Amino acid sequence: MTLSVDAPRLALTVALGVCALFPAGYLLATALPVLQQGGWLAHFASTTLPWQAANSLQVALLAAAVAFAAGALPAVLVSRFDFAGRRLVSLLALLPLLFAPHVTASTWMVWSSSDFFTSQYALAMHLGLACAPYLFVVFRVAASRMPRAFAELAASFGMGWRQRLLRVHLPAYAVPVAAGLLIVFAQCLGDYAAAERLGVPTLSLGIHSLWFASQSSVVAAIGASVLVLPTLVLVGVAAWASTALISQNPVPPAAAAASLRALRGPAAWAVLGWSLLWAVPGFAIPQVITVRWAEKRWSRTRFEDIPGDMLGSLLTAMGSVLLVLAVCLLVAAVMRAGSRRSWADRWSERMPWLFLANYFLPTLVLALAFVMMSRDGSNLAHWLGAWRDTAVLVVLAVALRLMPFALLPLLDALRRTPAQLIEAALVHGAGPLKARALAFAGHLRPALFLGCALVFMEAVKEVDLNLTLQPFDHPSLALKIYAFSRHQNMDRAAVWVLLSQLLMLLPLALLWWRMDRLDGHRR
Amino acid sequence: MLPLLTRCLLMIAGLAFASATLAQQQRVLRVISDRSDQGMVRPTLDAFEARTGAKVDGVFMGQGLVNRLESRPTEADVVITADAELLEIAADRGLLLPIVSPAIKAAIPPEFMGTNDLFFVDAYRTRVIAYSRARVKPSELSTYEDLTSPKWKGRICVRSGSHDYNLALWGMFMASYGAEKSRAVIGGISNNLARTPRGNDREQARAIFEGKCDLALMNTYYHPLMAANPEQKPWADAVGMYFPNQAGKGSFIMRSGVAMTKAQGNRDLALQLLEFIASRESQDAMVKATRQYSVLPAVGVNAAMVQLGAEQGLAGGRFKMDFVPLRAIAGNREDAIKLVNEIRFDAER
Repeated sequence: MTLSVDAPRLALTVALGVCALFPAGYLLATALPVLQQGGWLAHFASTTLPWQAANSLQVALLAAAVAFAAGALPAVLVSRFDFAGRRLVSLLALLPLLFAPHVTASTWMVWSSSDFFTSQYALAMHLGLACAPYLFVVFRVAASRMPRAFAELAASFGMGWRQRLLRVHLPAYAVPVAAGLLIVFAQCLGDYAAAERLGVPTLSLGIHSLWFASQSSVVAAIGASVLVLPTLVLVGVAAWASTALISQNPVPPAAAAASLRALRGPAAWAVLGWSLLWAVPGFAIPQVITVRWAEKRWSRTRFEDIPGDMLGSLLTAMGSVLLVLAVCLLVAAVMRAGSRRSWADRWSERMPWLFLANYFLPTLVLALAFVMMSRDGSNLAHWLGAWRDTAVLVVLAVALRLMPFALLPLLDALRRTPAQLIEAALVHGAGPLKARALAFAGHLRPALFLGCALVFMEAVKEVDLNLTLQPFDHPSLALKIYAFSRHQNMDRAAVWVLLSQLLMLLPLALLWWRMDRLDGHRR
Repeated sequence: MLPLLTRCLLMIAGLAFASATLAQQQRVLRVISDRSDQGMVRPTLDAFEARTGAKVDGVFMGQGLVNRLESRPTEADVVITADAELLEIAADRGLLLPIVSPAIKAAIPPEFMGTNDLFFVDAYRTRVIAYSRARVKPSELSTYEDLTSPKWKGRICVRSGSHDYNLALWGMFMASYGAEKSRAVIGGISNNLARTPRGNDREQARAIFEGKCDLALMNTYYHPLMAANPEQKPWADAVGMYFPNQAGKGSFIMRSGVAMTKAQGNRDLALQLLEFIASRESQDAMVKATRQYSVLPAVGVNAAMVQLGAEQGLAGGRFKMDFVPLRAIAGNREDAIKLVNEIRFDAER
């Protein structure tokens, strides 16, 4: 009986782990013969890669500061206080999602002659602002679950604000802080396009330069291995922390019932002003410039390309969302709900975390892995058949990379769903699947909804995977933007940037609405 | 008499059948390129479509062209690249088919034909010294090697040393000067930089316009491109283009190229496209659209580039070129990037 219940879960766990690690494993296997010869580490140490890695670290730390200031802080304030303009703060925090970081980087660089906009500080600003909406979402969800009672209890015990900060608030926010840092570091390590546009020598750029100079996929694989190994360690720790630490300290959903405190006068204006301050470089100015350029270049726009490009981007993004959704639903149908007790349960929950490894890989390297894995005569090419030469390969790669956006919130929601709900539904006559659907509806739907909206928006903006894996005659807004911005013709790219934003408006609006609903029931 | 709805349905079915038949009859040629679909290749392909009635489907990717070719050697019929060195690498890896065409043989000068006729160069551009018209006289400039002179200390701007354009130039230094001298030249340029290498070629012109530096390394076609853009025209006006080494071996050139893959279905059509690219008509259009130089001696320089080099005494935009064989360069990129790493060309300044 136990075996029959556990077997599907075990099979799914293994399948998810294999899928998640397939590209990284393939790259490692490709690099292994050279890695085994030894001497490669000494060779890398003699190149500028260590220096570029230090640059990347510096960029990542600065970007983290920006992302926490622009995303996390407003999220906590919005979750804790009620004030005029609260919904506007949420919107301002989410708006940078409408721009890919390489687009804002190019826009600022073309528009302004200041040295700042070709510096690593500018790169950190663009990447940090691109991550800020994610941190807003992460902190917004986390903060809405944290009851104020902990801090009030600590105050009643006579703890001062410093002690409360150190002993109550910071430990409570440890998990979202770690998640936020993961997102920022993954973005900074994986980015190629923005760093290349600005000419900032990052590790990703260094690896790509080695690859392009040699035109050797083995060199790219060795370069990627520099990232793959630390990434796997980092993802492993994150998966362990999520399934061990959090499960032992579950914050009950009822914590969300804590009431909002009113914020009025200068304090409320200060919060609004803070959000506006960050929205200016991350959204407002690039948007105004883009609209102005689009107006100027309107007469030279090839309007006949627009329907095809929009449809191409829409189908690829929708395909990615559907694939991610299918995996998530499969996980929801098979994985156990509630907190984990046995090691087997915990391991089954940790496996999907491995998808995060693909988010850490530079996207061009991930694309190269797919090119190599799907080469003529390979198993993947055989399995895909004629589909390999269609946009399906792009959809597969995009979905694999963006899977964590939907899968990890789903796992979190799954963990917070009491297993007793399923049992109750079963007792009332529901079938096994319907019982799970009934029990999960309230918890999983919002997480899936949020994840799919993010996947859609990122898929619309995705350049590197589209560029490298595109089939023949593949129309895409992102490719058009790349084609123009490659030669710094951002004015000609402007119309296509606006069109991509048009596609993203609905998911953005839904995301905004969802954020607002997080504490809607207590108002 | 058939009802109206039935007639409409029959008409739609007839149209669908006709268009399906037409689609079946229309041949499709597949082109893979690392060039952008916007501006560079598209006019040539459009003209070829109009001439032959065939449809050209393209994959216009950025980097990783050779890896994709290796992975799917016969998915495309024709390869078009901005960097003919890649075709030399592809040829080495056995991915290309020899071009057997008397028309191409007759049109393309032998020095622009690839090894064993596996590809040919369709256009080229050169990486020259951009200088401030306000602060530098052309007579002060001479060669790439001269950029290492102490008089240029803190006066040179350049994009990343490991960018494709510069790697191609360093590769030619290595082939032409030898390892030791090229190390001295690249290191000397690095020592004279005014700032950390950053931005793209146009950014260097802007830096000269803004007085941040006096010299830069740039590809020639950026000058007319900037001049045609109202916002960038002041940058173009502020810089002159100096063709180095004219008293010696000549300026280095970067070559674009075309080749046929080993795909079988469309070899005749692929050859037609290659012959079209080598034709006078296509070369004229290419020069006009891309502002590169044609490999056909009879095709003139783009009108917007005729004046380039006039201040140093060149006429008609023509210059002497140092023709380093691609085979001699193709293996140098890895060495070039090692050198850039070793001398820390891109390090913060």
